[in-house]
Amino acid sequence: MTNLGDRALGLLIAAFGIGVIYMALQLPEPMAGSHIAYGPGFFPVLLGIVATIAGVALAIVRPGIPGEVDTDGLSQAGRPRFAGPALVLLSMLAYVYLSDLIGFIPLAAVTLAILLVFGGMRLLPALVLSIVASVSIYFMFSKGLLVPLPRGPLQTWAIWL
Amino acid sequence: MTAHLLAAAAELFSPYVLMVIVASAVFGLFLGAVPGLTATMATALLVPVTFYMDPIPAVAAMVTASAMAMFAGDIPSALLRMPGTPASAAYTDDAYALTKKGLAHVSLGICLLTSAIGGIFGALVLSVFAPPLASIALKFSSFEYFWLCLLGLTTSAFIMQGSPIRGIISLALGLLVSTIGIDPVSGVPRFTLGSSALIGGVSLVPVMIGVFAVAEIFRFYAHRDPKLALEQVEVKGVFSGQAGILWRQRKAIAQGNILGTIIGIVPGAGADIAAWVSYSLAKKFSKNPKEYGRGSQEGLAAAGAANNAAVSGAYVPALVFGIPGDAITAIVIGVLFMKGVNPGPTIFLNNPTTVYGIFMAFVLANLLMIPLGWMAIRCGRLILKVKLAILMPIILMFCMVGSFAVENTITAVGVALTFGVLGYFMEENGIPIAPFVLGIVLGPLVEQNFLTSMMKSGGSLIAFFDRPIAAFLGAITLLIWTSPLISVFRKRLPQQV
Repeated sequence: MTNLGDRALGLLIAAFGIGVIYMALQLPEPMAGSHIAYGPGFFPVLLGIVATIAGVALAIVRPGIPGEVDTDGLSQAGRPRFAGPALVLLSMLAYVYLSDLIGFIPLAAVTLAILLVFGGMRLLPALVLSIVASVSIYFMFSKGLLVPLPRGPLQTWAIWL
Repeated sequence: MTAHLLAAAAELFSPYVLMVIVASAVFGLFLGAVPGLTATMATALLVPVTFYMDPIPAVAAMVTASAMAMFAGDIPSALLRMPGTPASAAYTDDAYALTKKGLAHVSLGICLLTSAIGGIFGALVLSVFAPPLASIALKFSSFEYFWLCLLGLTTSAFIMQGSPIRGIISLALGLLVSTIGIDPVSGVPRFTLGSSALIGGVSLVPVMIGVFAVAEIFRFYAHRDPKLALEQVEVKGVFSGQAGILWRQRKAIAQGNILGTIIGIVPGAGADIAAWVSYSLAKKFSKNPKEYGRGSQEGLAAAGAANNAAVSGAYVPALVFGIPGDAITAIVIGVLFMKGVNPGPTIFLNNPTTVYGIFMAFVLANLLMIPLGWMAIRCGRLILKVKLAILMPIILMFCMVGSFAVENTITAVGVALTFGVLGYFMEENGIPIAPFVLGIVLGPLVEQNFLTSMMKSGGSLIAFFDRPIAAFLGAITLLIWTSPLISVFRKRLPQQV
């Protein structure tokens, strides 16, 4: 579940806060002879303490009321599903790691087609739309805004792109 | 001053800038009208495009898109009982109740006209009060700035949602993100996890795209929306009889204008809160409080004016102090910084043309809202038929290209992804996003002003209350921090007696 409930969420935040305090204490001491006693770790330690206290407070003050805060009628929508978000996550990871290799247009077209078909669109219209959309986005950003989007194997047709 | 005004007008009314404004208006209306896409998301997605523009068209585009999206959020409220943006949520029931009575044209007409009036009122207040405030702000020292930043962060954490604890958690996380990178005072890298890409800190635009757009995409796929049913087929006669309605609701509109602008000006509080506060205040002093929630035109007018007035009002602290009033201005501030126009009191001395351009862009955008908003209402049926399952993958592409475009590094896409996951996780657990974003923007300012102040005072904390304005701001901030404790004691007292 992505909604943890107050107790688990509070403990998670508190643990994170303690981790931050630990990491911040490793930062160097304020320089000797400097006018003030606050080094680079001062502000992070303070924030770590605030996060820890707030996390503990969340865990203790209102235990066992998971999902009490209703964000825009989420509760009506029921339990979250995972396939869709996982697909989005994979698409973005693929973009981060593969865009230089494959190039923007092919990668974007494939990603779009997969997501569109997943969203219930039939294959052929999804393919057409994803090719049109990825080529349009490429030209808009690459030609219009001069963003150096990766061309990948299409580099050979660089004159046309 | 006249020369700067004329220069700003010449730039704003050039064909190129006008085209940018109309295009961003259509973009904002569309995004605002589609439920699930917000005014903040519209602004965040515009950033990569505005990156290549001069300051005036860039800000004009964002001002127009956010104002239009804020109004357009009312369209699905009225037709589907689904707020298009969170700022429309306060009066969704009233707008929908009117539609059920066959009065969709009345409710959308009120929303459109009061939005435009609210926006223009806020813009006028901005142009009248910002310059004199800036001359006061020029005398501010690090003490005042420290308290002002802290006040903004405090309001956003405490007022945003019902639970201040969640607000504080969000704020602490945001401030911690702002400490990533080289510490400006000592030059020591902090929390970079050995990555050279993080030495300069996390850049703002990919973060914004992540928490406002990518997170929303995750949320869409995690909770497929239930089937929507359009209530009324066609909306005609949006303007008929509106003069009479506006005159009858003049008190509610005036209240919405004033309250919305003031809440917009308070750093850390934005349009969402303005709409809620104005709505509940109007209800409290109404002659027919029972009508509220069942199609009250008064409530619609008061809250519809307030959220757009707040959008304009939020630019007062943004321009005068460089402190964002809400998430949208936080993005705009980031863009201005990238363009070398530093918001803060000196912007009125160094870039007066830009400032006047922003003032005029507001008035123009809100005037344009009337005809373009009318068209959006007429096309509402079409816009609401757009399937999010088709739109979301394309928005995802824009998110990736957009975050890449700002720095031309793939790391930025990774940052957008990371913050998208984080933003989704936070929203799922009821942790508000706004304090987090303000924390990232204001974190470095709070830290630097605190350290500078400590150096000046030789380590004495009392110096933070020495100067009158600093003492006043500090007292308000501390009061807000202690208010939950006070209310706990007040609840316990009667039981003991």
